[in-house]
Amino acid sequence: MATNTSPFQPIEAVKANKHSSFYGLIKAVELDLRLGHQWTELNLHMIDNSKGHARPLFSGIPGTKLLKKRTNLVLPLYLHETVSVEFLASVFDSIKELKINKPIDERGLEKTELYLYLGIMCEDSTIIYYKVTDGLVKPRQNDEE
Amino acid sequence: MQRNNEIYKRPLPVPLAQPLPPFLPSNPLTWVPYVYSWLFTKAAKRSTWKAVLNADGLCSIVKDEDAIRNLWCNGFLEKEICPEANQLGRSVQKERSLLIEKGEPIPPELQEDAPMPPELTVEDGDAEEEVEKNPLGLKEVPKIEHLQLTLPETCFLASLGVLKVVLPQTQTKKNLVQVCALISLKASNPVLSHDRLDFEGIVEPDNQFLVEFAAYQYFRQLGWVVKMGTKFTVDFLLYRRGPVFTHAELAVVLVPCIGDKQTRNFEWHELHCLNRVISQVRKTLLVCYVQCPEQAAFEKVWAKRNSMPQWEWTKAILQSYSVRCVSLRRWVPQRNRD
Repeated sequence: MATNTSPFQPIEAVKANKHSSFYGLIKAVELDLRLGHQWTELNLHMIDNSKGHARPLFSGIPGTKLLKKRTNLVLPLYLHETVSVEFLASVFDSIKELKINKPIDERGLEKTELYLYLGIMCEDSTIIYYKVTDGLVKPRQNDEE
Repeated sequence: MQRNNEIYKRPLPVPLAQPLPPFLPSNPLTWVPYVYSWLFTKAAKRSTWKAVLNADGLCSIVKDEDAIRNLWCNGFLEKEICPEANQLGRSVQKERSLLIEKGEPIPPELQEDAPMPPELTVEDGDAEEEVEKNPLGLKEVPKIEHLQLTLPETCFLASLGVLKVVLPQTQTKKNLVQVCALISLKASNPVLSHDRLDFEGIVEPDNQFLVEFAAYQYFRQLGWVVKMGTKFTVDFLLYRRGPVFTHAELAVVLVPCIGDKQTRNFEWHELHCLNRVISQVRKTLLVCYVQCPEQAAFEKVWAKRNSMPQWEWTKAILQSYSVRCVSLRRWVPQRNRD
């Protein structure tokens, strides 16, 4: 997908999803990533979860210095949704089939675990992010980044 | 601090009566302020602003500049969406907002959609420095701000007469509270709904929106500023005067009850974790039991929604809800004495 030229306009994929039941979620998370955290090269993918429903997933490169500048994934969620382990496992399985640079967690025990960020949307436009890794992770050492 | 007291001195976007000195029938001097205010006080001007209900985002959006400033300064309602566009945009906005707060007229260079200062757009010798300041090569500072109000805030303002809410096309025949309750019902099953704008369903007494609205009204009437508390895994945060002045004092968790049963139960470890998190951020945990009416009584009042005036009906619905608060604190026998 083409990268958007102006950061003040939402990416094309957002407008294309105007009629999906996740439109509000997509719009809010995309706005926060693009302008609040200055992510670039944002793309929207639709992946299947365990029950066969399609869910949106964002990929992009963070602009701020806190995260490393490589492709990261954000799964938008509503605040009142309950997320089961089965759901997350199916999301990770679907990610493995996507043709993008997959983010690998370096602190994973087997060094092959993927990670993503859950972007939870609240009614007052706050988006809260949680990092989820697909497997066991070593605790952070003090001299690590 | 002085400036903050000036800007945020009104607790609500509604003109409130000024308190008058005490009245003593035996002392005619005390009658003077009352007579004066009766004869000479003009009715304060009340403005009504427009908001558009946005069911996708479970909120309503306000775009009017004047409204934005008024709603934030008089009651800390809503969350401002003011993304940091780029360095230049941000500094311009900061200057602009400082001027707004001071109440001064905004010079034409800082108005919205003003052309960028010429030093930055004209190619000059030191090209690298130019790129630093104006990385996106913009010709104008775009206007992207709008304000977002949560559903309880929207209904609160609409009930005060401050806000005029525009409902989505298909729902214009319904009451605002009814639409909000239906939106909240639909939102709990996002995947199963086929039509985005189709809000139908049976509203139960412990509907998420109704419970939140009842608690919101309760705390607002007591004088607290109520904001969403998702960052601390609670439902509401209560501020004494506002987020600008101090941190929140109370973190509220809502527990709806119907009859004797709670519809949200805490496991021991959940409550313990919650309490630890809240005390680490120096707040007090408040468990707020919202007693909802029984199904039969609720349906009787709900059925009258088209036959009563809108806010009378809302009052009837809310009167059947009551709120009881319990504060929780960890008590260790070795360390606590009271």
